[in-house]
Amino acid sequence: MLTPSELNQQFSSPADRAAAQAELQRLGAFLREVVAAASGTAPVPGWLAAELQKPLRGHREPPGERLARYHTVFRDELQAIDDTLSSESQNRLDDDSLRAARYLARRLLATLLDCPPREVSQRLPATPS
Amino acid sequence: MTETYGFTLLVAGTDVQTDEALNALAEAGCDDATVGSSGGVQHLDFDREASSYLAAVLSAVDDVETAVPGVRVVRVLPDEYVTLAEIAQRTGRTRESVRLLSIGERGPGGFPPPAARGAERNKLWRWVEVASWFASALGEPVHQAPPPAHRAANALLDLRASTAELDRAELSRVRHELGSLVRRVALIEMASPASLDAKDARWSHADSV
Repeated sequence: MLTPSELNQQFSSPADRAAAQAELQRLGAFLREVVAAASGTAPVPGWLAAELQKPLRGHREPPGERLARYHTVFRDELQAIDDTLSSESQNRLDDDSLRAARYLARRLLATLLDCPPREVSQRLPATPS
Repeated sequence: MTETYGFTLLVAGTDVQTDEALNALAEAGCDDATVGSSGGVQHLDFDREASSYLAAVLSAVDDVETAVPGVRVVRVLPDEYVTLAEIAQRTGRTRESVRLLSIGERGPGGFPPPAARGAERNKLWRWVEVASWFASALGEPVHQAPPPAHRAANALLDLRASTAELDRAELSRVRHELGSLVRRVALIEMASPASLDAKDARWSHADSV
């Protein structure tokens, strides 16, 4: 699990950095699906539909309302991830930004899935829809 | 929670030592500063209470420039650039010891690169980077080293001053780079655990309503 100290921890090798970048791209692709579904520009993918059906901390909420509320609360953060994933930003992504973006993506998905950040990867399908 | 931060602002433009300017500075909240000049350069020495170093410096800049029309803060001291001899003096080492550290022939390596490179004797380093390296690489915290935000404060002042000298194409380029920088800063700010915890609380609260 990423902790605050890991936000500042240097990558141990180029492979470590490449793994972080790959994880960011994967998580970011799922977040882009969330945004597209919330904006109505794409259908709700299966994995997200299943998650939205589950009660959140004991509360049931219509899936559409929950998705819209999530999109509203985390609009700026979702936009920041989208900007980071743009090709221009990807090429110039420094280590601090990469660590921050990966942490942010994990936390955003952990909130949506209502699970600890370390479990996010297992809760998601292997690839986005 | 606030702390008191000590720093000096160098100013240019209007004379800040007239009675009128001194009164205006006091009324603007700069009664925590001592005004003086040295070698023809005007300065204000602050002991300012604030939530952070950067908040202290930027509020002081704002207060000074608001109080006295035509005055411009140009730099925050202590001096950011240092020679090997000054590094030696500030760290209690010999000049040769610091020179060997700087070229990686002593110590763990990774000494910050010089910020300005003239002749060998005239190289300059950023003091914030050097002090940080002594603390992290050698475990030797340097007393009275300015915080990292010191560099940010001077960078903001430098950028502000330089834009007046740029042509339209250069300004456009600077604006483009600033856009990237703003996005980077926002990303790192958003990714702070405290910021995300606050957002999560908003999410949870709204959920329970």
